[in-house]
Amino acid sequence: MSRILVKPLSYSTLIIFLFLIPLFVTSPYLIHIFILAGIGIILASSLRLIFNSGQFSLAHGGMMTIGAYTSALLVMKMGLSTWVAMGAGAAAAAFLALLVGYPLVRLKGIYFALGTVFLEEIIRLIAQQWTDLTGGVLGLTSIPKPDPIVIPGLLNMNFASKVDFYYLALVLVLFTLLILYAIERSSINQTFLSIKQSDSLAESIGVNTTKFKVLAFTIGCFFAGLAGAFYSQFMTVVTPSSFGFVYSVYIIVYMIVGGEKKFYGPIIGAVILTFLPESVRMLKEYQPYVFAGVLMLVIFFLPEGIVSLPQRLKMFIRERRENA
Amino acid sequence: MLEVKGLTKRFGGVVAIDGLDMTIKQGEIVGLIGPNGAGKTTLFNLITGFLRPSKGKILFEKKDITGYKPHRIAAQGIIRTFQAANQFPDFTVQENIVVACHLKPKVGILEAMLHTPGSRKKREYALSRANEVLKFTGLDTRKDQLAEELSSGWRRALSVAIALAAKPRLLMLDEPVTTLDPERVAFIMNLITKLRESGVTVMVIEHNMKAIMDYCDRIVVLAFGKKIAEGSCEEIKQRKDVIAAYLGD
Repeated sequence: MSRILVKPLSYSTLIIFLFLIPLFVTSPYLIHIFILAGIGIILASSLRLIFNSGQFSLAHGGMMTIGAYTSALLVMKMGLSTWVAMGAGAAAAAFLALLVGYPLVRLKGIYFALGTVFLEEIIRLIAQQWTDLTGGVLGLTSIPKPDPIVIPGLLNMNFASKVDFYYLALVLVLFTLLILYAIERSSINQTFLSIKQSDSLAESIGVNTTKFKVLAFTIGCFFAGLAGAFYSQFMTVVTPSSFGFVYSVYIIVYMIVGGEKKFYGPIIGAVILTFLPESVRMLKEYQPYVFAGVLMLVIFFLPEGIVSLPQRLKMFIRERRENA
Repeated sequence: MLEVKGLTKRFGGVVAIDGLDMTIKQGEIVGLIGPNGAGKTTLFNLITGFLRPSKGKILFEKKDITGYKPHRIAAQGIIRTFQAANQFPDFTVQENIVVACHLKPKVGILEAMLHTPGSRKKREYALSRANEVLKFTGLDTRKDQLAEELSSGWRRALSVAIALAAKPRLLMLDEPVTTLDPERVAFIMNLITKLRESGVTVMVIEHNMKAIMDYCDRIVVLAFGKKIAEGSCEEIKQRKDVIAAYLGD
């Protein structure tokens, strides 16, 4: 088999496998966790795009809130189709990112991160205080589930079971990763990375750094909005504190624990850290501590994340052999 | 080619550049010298848009570029280097140069994402141009090395190569050979001379007097934000006030 075919083939096998999972995983609880992992993948991977342009955003939770409320309110108050509303939720987050992006990217490094913390707090407070529209602290309840997709004789998804949501989440994850991968492979990614390494040098060779930083922030926030919109239709409840500051930090932890240098790092981080607290009931109660512990272990022993583990092991074994 | 008129920059109460007038002609190599704190790097920052002048005008090929953002000035053809942090450390040598080649011709965001035939053609063009630059600067032997792993001599050569890849018409070098050994100094200065032959105008800040005297056509001396002397190397060597400014009375 030629080498060019190996990658596409293994990817398609993996995707087919993921589509088949509901056939042998029947526990609704496990399917639920799979869906949460999917949301985590969308968030952590899109955050990595922003990170690649040299910015550390803590507003991803806030952008989810925007996506969730926009989509839910459009369906509940204006009777829009849930599918249109989901797209609108993502677009609303992207639009907000574009608006605040221009002033915000003037801040660099830690100051940008602080700016995004404030942005997230502002979003949370608006969701909490604008009671007429958002239902205040209690949030929005009984958000309609996605409209059924029926293709006679072929497909009948009415979103009564979690399996339908699993497939929707899977499609959204693939859509997100496809776009992010297209960016990753293009020359734009090189431009992002050059800005991350040296802002002023990139500017000096003619890169409009402001534009590219806003671009990365906007695309990243689009997917956070998408994840929020999906979440609201999946859980049917959203409150101002559903995705707070701590949630944004979790997304960063997913990314770093997985390894932000590789495209698949955040994917692996999101999956592992979603399943880990669920695997042992006790861990769930102490989730923040577990995450902090895992984060510290990874920073100390695997600074390039879990994805660097195979390479580290190989080096370790080779050294042992040479010393023996 | 470049004309600076009454350029002034104040930082609070300090006047870093004080009513400076200066012209650079097409095809020259101009040395900019002066004691530390004279305002040489500030002048570079003003011309390339990293700082906004308090007063005065900057004309490039008769076009007023005062107040332009750095990337727009770079697009006009004025490319500068920095004293420090002048490479992308996590990129290989080749990637460093390719990223600078990508900007001319510009690749649109959507076409790059969709990998359109047009963007692929531009990418191939960028790669071939990067190869030319690699050969020209002698960096082709190290193209797969990470920039941070290079010795300081090669790192300086890479700085010049990155600037070169961005297609300069006026190249502004900030201390390209300071702290290098004589062999490396000659290597980089020869590179600069070769560049001039291909039609690039060069302005260079340098403390290495031998390099300045050997390679520059003309010298501008700054002290306390003012131009205190200007002329050929021979003329400058004769000027007592220049020697006083540099060495103290």
